[in-house]
Amino acid sequence: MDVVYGLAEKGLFDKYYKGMCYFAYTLIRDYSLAEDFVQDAFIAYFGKKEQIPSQESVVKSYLYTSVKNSILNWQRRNKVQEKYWEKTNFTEFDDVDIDNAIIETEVMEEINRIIKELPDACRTIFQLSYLEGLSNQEIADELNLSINTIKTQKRRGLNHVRSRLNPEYFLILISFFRF
Amino acid sequence: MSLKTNNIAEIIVKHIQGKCTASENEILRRWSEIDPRNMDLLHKMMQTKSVEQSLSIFNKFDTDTAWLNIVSKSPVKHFMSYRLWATIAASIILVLGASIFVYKNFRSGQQDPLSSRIVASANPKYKNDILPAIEGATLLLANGEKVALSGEVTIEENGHILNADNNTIVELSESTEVIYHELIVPQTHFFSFKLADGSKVWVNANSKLRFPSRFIGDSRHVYLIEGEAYFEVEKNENQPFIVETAKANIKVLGTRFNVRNYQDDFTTTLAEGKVQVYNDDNSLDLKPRQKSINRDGKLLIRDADLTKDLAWKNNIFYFRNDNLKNVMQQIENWYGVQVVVDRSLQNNATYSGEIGRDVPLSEILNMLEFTSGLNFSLEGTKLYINSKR
Repeated sequence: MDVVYGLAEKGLFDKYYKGMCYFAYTLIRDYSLAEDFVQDAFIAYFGKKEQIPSQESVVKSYLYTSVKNSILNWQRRNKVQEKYWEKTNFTEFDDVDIDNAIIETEVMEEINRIIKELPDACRTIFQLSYLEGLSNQEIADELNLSINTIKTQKRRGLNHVRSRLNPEYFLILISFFRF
Repeated sequence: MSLKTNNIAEIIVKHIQGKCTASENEILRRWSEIDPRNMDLLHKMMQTKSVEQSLSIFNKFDTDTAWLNIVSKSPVKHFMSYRLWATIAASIILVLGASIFVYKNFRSGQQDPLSSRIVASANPKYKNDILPAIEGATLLLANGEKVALSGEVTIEENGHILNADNNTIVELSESTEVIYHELIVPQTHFFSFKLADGSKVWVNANSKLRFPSRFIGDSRHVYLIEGEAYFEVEKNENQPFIVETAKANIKVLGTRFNVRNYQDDFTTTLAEGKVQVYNDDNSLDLKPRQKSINRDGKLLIRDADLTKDLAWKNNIFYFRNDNLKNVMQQIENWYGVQVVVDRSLQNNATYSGEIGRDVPLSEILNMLEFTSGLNFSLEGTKLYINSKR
């Protein structure tokens, strides 16, 4: 079948790719294997797109299930290789593992979405700093900006995220265990 | 993804934001006690350091590289042969184009096969050009019959539908009968007409509207099944006018407003008067120059840019800081092209520009090239986009 990789497909891919990879990675802790499973899931979905209702929750469900199945099959294949199991300390995934990986993915998607809504200049700096761990000097060099600009933008970015997240979240631990 | 996992994720996000209600806190507490792994996860999500780590993992995955990878896994043979075919076809089209164009001008308003909209390009940069959408639609009658509509139709008060030459398209047997018709406006088409009460409707490409032959009872109902429509409703305080959609209803007495009902975009924009937008969970009253948007099922009020939201009805493309997807969806609908985006394009780039919609595609592309860093090539109905280097 001829699969057209058009704008609609790319839009869907952009929206879910990172999340699906994160989901797979959370379980198997292997970047490239995670990406392989997820890309296979998308290819399968695009091939069957006509037969699957296009609501977001259905599409996501399909992708999660497809990635999950790849992971479980892979795990069973590996099961015979005792050495691998000893080395990685794996036990077979149960529903709680899978559900929690999905929950974690959904939470991370939302946090990532909030960060992506930062104003442009701010976002780049914020990402370099908090996501890629560069120092102010390194960011200044990379973007050809003054250190002061970096500091200002970082402050603005933090204020923006804070206004959307609970301020306490930026303290190390939150009061959850107190109630 | 079960309801349960979805729900817990939502509550955790709310908890991070400090917005949990007491009952949500209780759900979370119970959930965390079911399994120690749940407690661990919650703990992890509440620690800034671990979330920072997770964010960096989340963003390690490179969507653009991956996209290229899966596109290259798609049947390459087909694509190559298509290119070869396109090269040959383009030269034929070049010769035929002019005559097709003349032929088209002779025809009046028939349903338009795609092939006759591909014409020779006046601009040597493009292999061919594509004509804009035309007025026309299909009327699906209650008995399953399909009628092609072009030009004006008139719906009489008694429910009969007449075409531009005053020939009857639909005749109802009994005067009390109310039947529902479905107006289907496909890609590359647009249509406007008056409902039985005199209210005027503009329907955009790729839209479906169900409407009754006559309005009886204490309210007037139409159904925007999908797509976009603009309404100028005749005032009748005794019989409110209600636009129904799967996501929410819009109730008005007499006013002008636009409704966009797409899978990922449900927006009602009010130009004049007053409307009420409501679904099972929310109800909003819009003032002029406001719009309601749908975020995860919740209706929210925002200020509207009328020039932008009503541009299509005024027959212009009007882009203001739109992302590529928005821009290209409009172009796909209007010209019936398939857009193929190069992986090098930045997802977060936005585009602006304004141009009438009644021009061939090449003029839109020239405008966009001028205002953006984009480079286009057109082969038949495939529109390739990459960035200028």
